Amino acid sequence: MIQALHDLWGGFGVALMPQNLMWSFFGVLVGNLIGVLPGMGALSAISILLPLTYSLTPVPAILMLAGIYYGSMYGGAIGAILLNLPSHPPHAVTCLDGYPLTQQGKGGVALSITMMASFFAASCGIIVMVFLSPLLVSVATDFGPPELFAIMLLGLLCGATMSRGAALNGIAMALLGLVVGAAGTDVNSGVARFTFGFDELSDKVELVALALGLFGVSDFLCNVNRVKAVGSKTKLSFHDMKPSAAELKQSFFPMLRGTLVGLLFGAMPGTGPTITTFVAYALEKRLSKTPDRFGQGAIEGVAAPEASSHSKTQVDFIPTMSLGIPGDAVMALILGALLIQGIQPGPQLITEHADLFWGLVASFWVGNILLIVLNVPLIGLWVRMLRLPYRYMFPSALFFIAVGVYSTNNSLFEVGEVLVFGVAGAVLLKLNFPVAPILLGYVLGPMLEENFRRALIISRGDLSVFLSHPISAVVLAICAGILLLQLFLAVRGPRVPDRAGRQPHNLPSAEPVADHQKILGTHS
Amino acid sequence: MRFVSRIIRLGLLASCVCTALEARAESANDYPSRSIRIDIPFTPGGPTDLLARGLAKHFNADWKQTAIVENRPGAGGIVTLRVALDAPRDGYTLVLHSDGMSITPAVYATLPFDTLRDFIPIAMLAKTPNAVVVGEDSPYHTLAELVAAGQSSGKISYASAGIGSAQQMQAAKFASRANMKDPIHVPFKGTPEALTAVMAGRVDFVFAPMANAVPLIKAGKLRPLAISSAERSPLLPDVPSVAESGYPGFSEEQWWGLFAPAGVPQDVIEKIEAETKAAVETDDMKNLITQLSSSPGEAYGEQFGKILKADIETNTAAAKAAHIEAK
Repeated sequence: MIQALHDLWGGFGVALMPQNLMWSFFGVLVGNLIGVLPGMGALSAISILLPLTYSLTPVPAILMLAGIYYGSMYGGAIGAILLNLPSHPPHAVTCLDGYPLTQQGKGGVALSITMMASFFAASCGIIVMVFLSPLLVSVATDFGPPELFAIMLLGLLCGATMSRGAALNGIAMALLGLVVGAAGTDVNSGVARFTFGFDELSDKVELVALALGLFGVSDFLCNVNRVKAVGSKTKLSFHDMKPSAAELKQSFFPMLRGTLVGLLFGAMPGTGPTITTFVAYALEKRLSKTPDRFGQGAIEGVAAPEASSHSKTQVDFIPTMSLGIPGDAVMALILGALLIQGIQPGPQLITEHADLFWGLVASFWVGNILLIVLNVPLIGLWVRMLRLPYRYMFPSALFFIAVGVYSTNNSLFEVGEVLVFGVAGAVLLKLNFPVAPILLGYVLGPMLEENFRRALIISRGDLSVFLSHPISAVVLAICAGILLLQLFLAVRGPRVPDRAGRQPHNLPSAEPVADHQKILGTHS
Repeated sequence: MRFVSRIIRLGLLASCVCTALEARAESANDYPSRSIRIDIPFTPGGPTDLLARGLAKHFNADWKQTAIVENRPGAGGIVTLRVALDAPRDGYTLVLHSDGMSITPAVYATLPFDTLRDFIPIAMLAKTPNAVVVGEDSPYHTLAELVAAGQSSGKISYASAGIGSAQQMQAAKFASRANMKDPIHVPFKGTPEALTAVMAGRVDFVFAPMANAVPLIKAGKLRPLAISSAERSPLLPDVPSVAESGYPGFSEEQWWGLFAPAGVPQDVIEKIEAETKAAVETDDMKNLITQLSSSPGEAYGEQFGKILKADIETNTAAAKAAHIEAK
């Protein structure tokens, strides 16, 4: 404990050295600016700036890359909240309530809450990194296929509450997402499914293209010629960007819970940040006394997922650095940069390159403070941007989407995917189908299937493996509990409006299976 | 208005003519007169990407022309190779690929090209053996113990970075050479996941790339049993090779090589080859190759072509024997 604090102190010494501080600031600034552009995520930002690190020594190089990483994540939240453009897929969940808030003229408030939530969550993540790294490293290998399968199943069950409106529509969309997710080469058999002869589809539909198409482009298509400017109601004074005491109070516990969800998922390498945000959002909706506000501009629906993705990101650095297991493509790129610098990521990294590791940890904190300093004045600017007439905003955003999506694989095919999903999303929106469950199905489906089958390959086809592993058994029991509870509630039946006087069809019970049972139940 | 459109058309025509002239005038003396593209079939940050960027730096410096690395992952490299074949065959589009070049023809039922006919091997930049590793708590301490356990049906499992990965091919070749009975292949999405499964003892062994394996071996998380190349590796001098553990002649290495689409003039190829050779012999490329836990490939032109051809043949045979198939 004392040793950790001592190391951290040394880390601050490293992070605050003028040269390191400068590169960290540069990374945060560039990451933030690139992240704001629709379609440009951390991956493009880091790929562009990677050659710069060749001429740097390891510490400033890695500090700059890390700065770009979380800077662009924060920048991505801006696009998601103000323009409904999730250039970093985990932010898709933030769109659900962030964008309605913007439409109500509260975009500035949502951004401020996001900023606080990310700072708080990142700080918690850093504390965990400092004190619990060895523990996290030792549990990281405990999550095998059965455990991951059980967690994905839980995520899918929780995520079903995402949908607003008719539950069956939500289920239909989640199923559509599962089908979209099935496209591509199957990891376990090598068979290409639903690729229709396109080699480009053999590595799955591009997540960024799917997220941008379903959220941003479809919304654009629906609003063309109907809206003059996104933020016509937006108030611009500094006072209006400050969240009120009530809003702060409202978002405090969601922020806390979101952070915890992120920390929990951070300990499980192999679970991406997208599922983390979905679970955090679903949890808030379930705990809320007024779940029908979600999707219409509930500030909790911004605070919780943003907090969860930031704490998850911080904690994810531990397996990346100490086991050399990158959590996502961006982490893989950062590992590559370390390799160029002659540093082998691995268990010895923390001891052999203590200045680098602790400097990085300290720079997270410094960088997050820099982000706040940078963004408090910028929020006004971003929000003002919304005043731009739609006829300028729409084409320029589309341009950046095309560039950004092209840069993910250097392929025009992905740009075509954005178009297809944009048009499909617009049609679905017009028909009152929610699009978020598509993304959820897409992200969870393949992981669910892959881990289920892998668990069975390893167990030589023995299904009891899911119950003999304690973690997966517990999680599966929770899944069963949720289902039974819903079944019970459905059988008892909300036939009369409850005390609040809400109509039954507005009730938040959107559990797919349970709802299905409810329908069966009323018919039999 | 009509005048403007006529001007534009004339301009377009002129530029077409110029391009055609330029293409015709192209010879080794002028090469390179514009920017060069090095396509790679993997995401940024991996060994292929790092080698391509290292090489591009030398092209930039020595030829005073920009060399751009384009990452175009997809379908085990097929997307990149197809795009390269669609580009003009003038030496301004090159491909840096891994030994996956010799695996795709073996595991894909149909390919949109013929690897040996449609690509010219220029240089093997680097090569690396894999290490046969087991988890720290594994009951197997030698290759012989592992093989002995593998003699009973379905007892031993091996991990890999996916169907058709070099790790799978090498493990399958070894398993059949050692007469293991029905070893179970557990494919993962990438090397780190495969190594984690072996570390945790969920899967018995894996042919792990040195770059990933060595730090974990040094930390005691993985135990090396053998090295896949004919010789021992200087990185793990105490670990015997598979060949000296009772399987003489067994020699498997992963490599990275530079290719051009067929049809590029021979003198241009020779110029690229000479430049690549010079680049690989510089200190910074040597350092990079060492960082990647690899050694210089030291095979050029025809010699590299022979290695490629031999690899394709053994991979095809192994894929047939172990029923490894994509699509």
